[in-house]
Amino acid sequence: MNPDRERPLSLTNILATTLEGMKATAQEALRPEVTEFYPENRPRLPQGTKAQLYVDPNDCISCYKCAKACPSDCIRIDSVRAPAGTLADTTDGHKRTFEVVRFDIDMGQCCYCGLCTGRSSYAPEEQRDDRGALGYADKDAACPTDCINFYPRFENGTEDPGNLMYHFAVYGFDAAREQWVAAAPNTKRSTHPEKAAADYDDPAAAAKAEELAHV
Amino acid sequence: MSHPKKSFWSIVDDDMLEQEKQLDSVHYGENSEATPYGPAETKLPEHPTPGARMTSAESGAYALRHDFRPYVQYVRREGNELGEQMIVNMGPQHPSTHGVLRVEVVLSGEEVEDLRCHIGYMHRCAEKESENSTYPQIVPYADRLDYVAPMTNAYCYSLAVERLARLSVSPEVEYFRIAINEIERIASHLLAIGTFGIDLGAFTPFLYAFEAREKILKFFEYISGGHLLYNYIWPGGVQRQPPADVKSRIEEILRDVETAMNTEINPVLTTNRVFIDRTAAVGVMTAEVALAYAITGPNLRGSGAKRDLRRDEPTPFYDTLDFEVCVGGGQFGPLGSALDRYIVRVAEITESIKIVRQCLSRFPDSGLDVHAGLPASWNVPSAECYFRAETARGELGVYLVSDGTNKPLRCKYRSPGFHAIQVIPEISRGQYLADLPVIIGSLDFVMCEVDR
Repeated sequence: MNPDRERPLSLTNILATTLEGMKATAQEALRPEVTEFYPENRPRLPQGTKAQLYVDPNDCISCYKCAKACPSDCIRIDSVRAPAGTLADTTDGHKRTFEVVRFDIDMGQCCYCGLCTGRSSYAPEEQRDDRGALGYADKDAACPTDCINFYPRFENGTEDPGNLMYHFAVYGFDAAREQWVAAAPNTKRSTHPEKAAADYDDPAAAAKAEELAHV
Repeated sequence: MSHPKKSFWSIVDDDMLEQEKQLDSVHYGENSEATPYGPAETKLPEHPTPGARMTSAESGAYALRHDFRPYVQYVRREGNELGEQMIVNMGPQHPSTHGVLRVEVVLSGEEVEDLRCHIGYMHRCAEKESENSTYPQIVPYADRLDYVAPMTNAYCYSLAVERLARLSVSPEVEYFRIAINEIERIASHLLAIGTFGIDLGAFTPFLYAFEAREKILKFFEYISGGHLLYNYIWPGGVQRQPPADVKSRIEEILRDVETAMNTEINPVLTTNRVFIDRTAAVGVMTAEVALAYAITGPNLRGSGAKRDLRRDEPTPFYDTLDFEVCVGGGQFGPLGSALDRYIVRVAEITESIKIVRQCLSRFPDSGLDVHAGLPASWNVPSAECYFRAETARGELGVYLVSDGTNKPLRCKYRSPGFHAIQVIPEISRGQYLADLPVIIGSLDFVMCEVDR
């Protein structure tokens, strides 16, 4: 049917190519192994590897920039305004007025693009040059306070996909309120009159709040 | 070589349609008033342009209707001297189809009489999704078009957005991006070479190719953070600042790839007489056929047409680089065979190494301001742009329309693989079924890019 393909192989060619293959085999036999045996030898990933996302909620100012930057909508944030003076500043000096009561990341939806992350992910510490990458990474990173970043943990397999939803908020709403009460008992806490009434130590203020609640 | 000009699909004649109707009336009642899905009046209204959907014009069946019966099953016909005719489904889970391609083959004995490719198993609305995303958010989606060579896709998309938004990128960053782009081309061709060997039963070269490719992926992981999908090349620059030892690492990779090609892959596979005789006359695609089907990239150059967008329509600073456009020579058989396409890929690895070496001297060791080209706002002025660049598989076209907001009004890709699979019936008629994996492997398409 096809004359080219019915041409017999010449013996010289067969021998030559076989020897060529044997030569390569001999070279390979003397080479060190490249196969990594996984559970015994775990690779140490470079610092900026796009793997697990980690959020420090004490540095978060609830600007929602990461949630807006995410192409796959995997970040959910809820926050409430905390009473003045109850929240500490972030580590790089941003003022915090909102307490994060919910910061959930669905790692099953995450596409590991790094668009939400802070400046540390843009220029990991061990890769920064003498000019300091922070100067311009600062303006282009989504997170202004460097609170959401990758860290090189890659063994996130789970039997239940629900376990891929990671919760980073330290307190829920109720627990956060308890914290504020403990930190500053005499400040106005809630805009909701019924809830606020319980928070006031001053009986007169409580009565006023009670009154407002029934208006 | 006998080429049956009559298409299989014309076998479905009026008699068969009549039989189908009779069968329908048996199943669904005489007047077809009731279907298994409910009474006849609950049928969907007719689509105004049913031809635009997946229709079979001869049978008048609309694929999206409930009463659609997809396949005319098992047409037996008097075959030729090799045996009787039968239909074989290859895929969508067949490993040699390189993804989820379903090939419906009409066989006469062992000979392919006709075939039809079915796509759409991986369609995920990437273009529509892009229209609901901002310009930086589309880059991860552009990466996922062709997951074997994401950097080349992102490079093409980024340049398109830079045209649209009139961004300017410094020459140093451009040279750095070209170097990354060409390293990704090498990685993609290594995979194409390795899997082509696997399609022929040669397993060892695949391991050699993957070892070299893995080194490139590790390098990309070091600079971008991702092992396979990077989101690294951005409109206006790249995502992260390159580390200080990037040049020495690139040099190391190029040396490793050269060693793998010269001492491992070329002796074992490229110059192997058995390999050459197996592929030299298979899947012959002349330059006329290739151009008629809009084939681009190494598949077209394997047919002898010297066309390369890097040379013909150079993206910035490609014209300052010295490289050759590799074409197939047809030394071992007819020009445009599977072997020629393979040899073009092997030769392009050498050319890409040459390009990367030239780029290395043209960007600084440190202090590359990779974010200088980023705009303050992504509200792109109203305009439209079609931009095309040469990826590892051919011409990737990006059509973008902006309406002044930060999201494109329309985003459309022209992917090289979509055209490559359309030529499979043309070049595989009259070949053996065992040659079909060779033809499919030599075209080196990625279904992710075809379906989008």
